[in-house]
Amino acid sequence: MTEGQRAKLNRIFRLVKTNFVFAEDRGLDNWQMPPEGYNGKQLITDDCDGFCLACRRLLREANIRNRLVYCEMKERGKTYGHLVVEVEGWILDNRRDHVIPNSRIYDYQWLRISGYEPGDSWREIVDHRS
Amino acid sequence: MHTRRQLLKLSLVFSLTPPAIIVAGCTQSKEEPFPFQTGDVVVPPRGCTDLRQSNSQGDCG
Repeated sequence: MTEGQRAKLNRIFRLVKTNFVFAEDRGLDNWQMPPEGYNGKQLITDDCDGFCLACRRLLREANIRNRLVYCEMKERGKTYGHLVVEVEGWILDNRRDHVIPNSRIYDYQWLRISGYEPGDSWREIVDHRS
Repeated sequence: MHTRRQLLKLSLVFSLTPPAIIVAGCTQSKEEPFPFQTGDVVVPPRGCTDLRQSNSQGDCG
């Protein structure tokens, strides 16, 4: 990935993150698309999936191919599902302050990954280094 | 105290592995992402499935 692409990725991450307020879903996990005309400046109040779908929308508009990655993490003895966005191994995660490479994330177990296009199949992640 | 033989060995090791290369190698391995290796098709997470059903764009996946 070129420096220019990295800079673009960071700009999108910062924009979404700045206007994102974390709020847990009540009851079942509920994925919501960002509002019509979303450009990163509207406030998104949601959990990890809302953050990811907002990033995904802006990444697509910037012609940056990206995928969703479902992972699990353990906290205080409990296992939680979590969703992040991946671009060539770089991870956009609402729990982090920066875009970081997957090789620097040690506390997630990578499980499933989406395709690049709407309607693409999800696949299991069979091998990872962390 | 090192013997003359030990000192010779040490100097040989340092002459073969310049510290700059070791440092550069460590930095690179931390910053370089790895490609996710994928296997079989699986069901999407439930939230995605629900979204696909309610949204014709199917945009989650």
